[in-house]
Amino acid sequence: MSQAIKLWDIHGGIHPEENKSQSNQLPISTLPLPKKLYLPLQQHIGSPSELTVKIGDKVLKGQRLAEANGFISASLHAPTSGTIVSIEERQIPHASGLTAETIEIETDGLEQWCEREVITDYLHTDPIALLAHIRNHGITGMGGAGFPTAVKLTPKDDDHIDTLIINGAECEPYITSDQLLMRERADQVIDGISVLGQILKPKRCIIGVEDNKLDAVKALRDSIDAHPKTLPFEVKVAAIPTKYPSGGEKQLIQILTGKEVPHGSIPADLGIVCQNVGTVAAISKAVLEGEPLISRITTVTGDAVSQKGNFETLIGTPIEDLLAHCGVDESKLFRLIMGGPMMGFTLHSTDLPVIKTTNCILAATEQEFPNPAQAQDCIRCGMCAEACPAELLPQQLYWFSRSKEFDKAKHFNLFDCIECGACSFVCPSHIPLVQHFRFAKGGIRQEEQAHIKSEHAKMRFEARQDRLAKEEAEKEARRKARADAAAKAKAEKEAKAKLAESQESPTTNTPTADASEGDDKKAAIAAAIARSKSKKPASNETTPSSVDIKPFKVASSQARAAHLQAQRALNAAKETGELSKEQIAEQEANVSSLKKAYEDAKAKLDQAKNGNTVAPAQEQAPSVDIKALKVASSQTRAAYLKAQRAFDTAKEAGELSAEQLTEQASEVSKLQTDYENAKAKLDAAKNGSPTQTAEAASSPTVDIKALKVASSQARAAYLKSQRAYDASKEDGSTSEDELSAQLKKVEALQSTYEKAKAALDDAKSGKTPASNPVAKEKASPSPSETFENKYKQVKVETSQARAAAKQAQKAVDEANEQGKDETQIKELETALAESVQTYEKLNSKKLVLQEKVKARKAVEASAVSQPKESKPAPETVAEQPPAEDDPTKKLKELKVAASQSKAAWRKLERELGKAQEAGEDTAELEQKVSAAKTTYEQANEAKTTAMAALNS
Amino acid sequence: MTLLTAILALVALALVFGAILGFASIRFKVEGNPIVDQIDSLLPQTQCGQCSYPGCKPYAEAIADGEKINKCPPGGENTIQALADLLGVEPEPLDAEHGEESVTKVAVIREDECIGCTKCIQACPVDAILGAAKQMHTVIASECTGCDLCVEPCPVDCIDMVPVAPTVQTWSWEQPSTTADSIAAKNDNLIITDKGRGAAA
Repeated sequence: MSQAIKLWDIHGGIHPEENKSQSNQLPISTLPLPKKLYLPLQQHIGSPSELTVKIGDKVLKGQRLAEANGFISASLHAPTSGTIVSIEERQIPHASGLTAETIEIETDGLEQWCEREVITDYLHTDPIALLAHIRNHGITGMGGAGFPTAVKLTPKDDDHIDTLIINGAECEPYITSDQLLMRERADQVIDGISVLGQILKPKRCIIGVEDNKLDAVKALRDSIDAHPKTLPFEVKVAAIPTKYPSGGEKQLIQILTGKEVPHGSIPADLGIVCQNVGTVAAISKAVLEGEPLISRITTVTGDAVSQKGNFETLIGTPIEDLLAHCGVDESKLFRLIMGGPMMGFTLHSTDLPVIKTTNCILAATEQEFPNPAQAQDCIRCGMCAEACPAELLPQQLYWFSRSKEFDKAKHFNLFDCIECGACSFVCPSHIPLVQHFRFAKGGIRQEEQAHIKSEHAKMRFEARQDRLAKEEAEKEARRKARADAAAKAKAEKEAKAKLAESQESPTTNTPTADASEGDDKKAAIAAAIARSKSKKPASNETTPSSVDIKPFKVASSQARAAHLQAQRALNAAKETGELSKEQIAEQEANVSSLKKAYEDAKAKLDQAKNGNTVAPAQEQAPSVDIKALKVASSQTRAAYLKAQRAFDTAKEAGELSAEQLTEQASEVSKLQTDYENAKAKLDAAKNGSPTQTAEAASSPTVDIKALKVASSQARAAYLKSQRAYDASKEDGSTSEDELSAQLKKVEALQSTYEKAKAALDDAKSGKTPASNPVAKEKASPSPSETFENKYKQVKVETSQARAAAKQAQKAVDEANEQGKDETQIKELETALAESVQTYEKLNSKKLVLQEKVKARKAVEASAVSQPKESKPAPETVAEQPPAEDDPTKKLKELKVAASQSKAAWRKLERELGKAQEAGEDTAELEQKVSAAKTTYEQANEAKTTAMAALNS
Repeated sequence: MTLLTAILALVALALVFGAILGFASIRFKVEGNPIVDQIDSLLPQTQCGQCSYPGCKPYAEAIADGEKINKCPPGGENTIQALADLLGVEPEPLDAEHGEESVTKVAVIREDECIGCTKCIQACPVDAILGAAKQMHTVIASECTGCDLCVEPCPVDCIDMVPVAPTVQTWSWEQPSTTADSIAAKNDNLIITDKGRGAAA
């Protein structure tokens, strides 16, 4: 059996009063089943568990409630059967007093077990399966920290474990839960060691027990003797001298093996694994009985309870219940501590559950745990350094922690401090040294986190900067390319014009498809130029018409020549039958487009000749454009369909090889995109022109509307002033002069209203509002509205033009990517330049109109605000968009308006606050704020009504 | 004669060493100022611009050129201390002109008020805001540095700076008070008392 084991000593250490006899006299008893259990999702070190149940679920005893989330995490199981009542944030037993997600179970008292998984033949089970079993059963360290046991039992590849140390030291005063466990359930501990032996395959195992628990030592030794078969390695029980903190992991290892765990390493690096006796017993229960970690032995002690002892407590039992069972005297309870007096922490409420690491509940009276004495200055006596089991220099660390010199504290190995509290215990100045060290550790960790975060932010910031720079460079490159293309096109055009001037007849070209294509492009350019020229009114109007005609002539003759050539080439090709169907179709399309271009050019020439130089051309331009676009669209469509058909037949016939097929397919898709682009352009153009015509048509109705608004406004103003007048008359407080003035005002308003009404009627009955001067004068809002309408239209057009430009750009890019012919690309580029031009024109127009609208609005606002002293109505009316609009759209607008006004109001309020702080004069600002507030309220009201209307 | 030899010898030595030094200064030239990177790594990288420089790097460069080290409110006293240690200057209190040190905050968009204007997205220096035009935006809290830059551009004022609440994972102990009157109030931290621990052996 056990011969004497060589023991070593640790540095420092203290001998506090043990206070264990109060609670270790009675055997372990079981607590009655509590009505409710509270299970925080995090009772261990690592990441919180992940829920696997939901509110309302019926759970059985031992059923998993939450599973391990990540490597360092642990599962959580139902301690008894019952119903999940809630899953919410509750205060947890933690030094911080913070809340965390907690499952609340209402117990049903049935104690109905779920199916248990038992491994009886664990000696022939794969260690990995055993580890998984331990992990699945939620076992964590029971000594205090709650580190997931399976993680601790998974050694790194190169570590071979030769010594297993079981920690039964229980060196903290008051706590006796491990002692009772070893005394009463030694067999469980030994079985657990046997399981661990199968997992770790150690050469020996030492159970370290302080020599104040000789009953436990004896029980363990007896149990070892009774289990010779399941222990294929040497298991010894060492009775070690009682000294705090011999139960610290590193300290116990040093006492039992003489080895010190170096800074920054773990015991496994020395071939040692250390487990608490409670953990070992829990492992044995999990493996041999299939019972997950759902209960533990908790010591309840302290002078505030009458029945001190150890209790088999379900995890999640409210401490309230535990204390009530033990006969707590609330009046005597001065401090409630979870854990021991040295390393535990104060609880601020009894409404907290027992968790996996609750080894002791200490309900102390004031006599037992009075408030600490006032800390005095450090006298550098050095007693702390003598007591420190980690051989640190607590007084140095104290200075650094106090002055937040974390770097230096770190340099003095602060992180080797086990926070045992021996230094605080011996300090004659009552300095709370451990608390300072805990603070410094937290500070260092926070700094590290902050540093990681700042590095991350820096990375992201730099990535963003790079991206922005790249985008800018790309934009610049595109702009340059566009400018180059435009310049090139211009130069070419000039050269062409010169060439055409110098020789009357068109140059003779070889009738090849390429040449015709080139010419086609040139003709298109010429036509486009002709078009754009015809659009420029101001410059052309003053110049003589003969100058105008020349370019048209040139363009027309060029287009004609190109058309003829293409026609010829096509005929030749048809005759020889050399070309495929598709090619012919393409050429045909070319020819017809050339013809079209020629006709266009001719038409323009005729127009120019006839002298109606500009205005008609301008009007016609869109329709011509549409026509051209229509033709282009249908052509591309035809080409696309043909190509598609050809592709299909080829596919069916199976004549072509796969490569050819894919080639064809790509061509088809190209054509499709071309077609779609053309169609989009066409649509855009179509949309662009009808709006212009619609504008004129819609204006009378708009006018009527405006008049209506004006009339109702005038009426409202009139009625209000009438009422005000009546009121003041009755009041009798105002003087006669004032009354007469008011009366006059009322009369004036009445006439205004009548005029407005007349104007409205006129407008309704078909008379133009312009013919009625009174109506015109009174209908002041109407011009602004027409302006606005125009502005809106132009805006729409502008955005369309922009979209067209973008599309064109995309087409160019696509073409570039697909490696299309240069000529084609150039064509596209000219189209692009054109659309960009249109867009710019429209945009400038838009801006001008915008300015106008703004100016008009400002004038109106001032006009409206002056005569009305008692009527804010028109403004709100004006703010509300016409009811005919799409309601959701309207609602959105209202929402935006409301939140904008809110923002304005808030900003003003903030300003006001600042001004008030600064002690400035705030009367004006206050007025502004209230005005903004009313605006916001109105807008908000409008919003809510609109919302309600929409909902109903 | 000896005088001349001595002079010649010294001149020769001077030339040789001068050549070596000159070569070394070209061959081992350090690109940029290494101190800038060191300063930059101490700054909190919120890129908030409260120091009046357009980002942390520019401020680091300015500090290397002699700018004061107390203009970084997000970094606070700790950063000032670290900079003072690095540069060997006296730490100064934070310049209140540039703002005050406050708890870590994170921007939160009230999503039902967001109108999808993308202005905050453009303002965010670390791309921590997600969204598209006319779509609701949201802040990726883990990427937000709490720099405040997105609050001002918001036209509907729907961005709040919310202090980051400590969780069980991020919580840490407070510094024990050393003043007389608060020691009783702060005794939560203190578990061991003379009576409870018993007599020292």
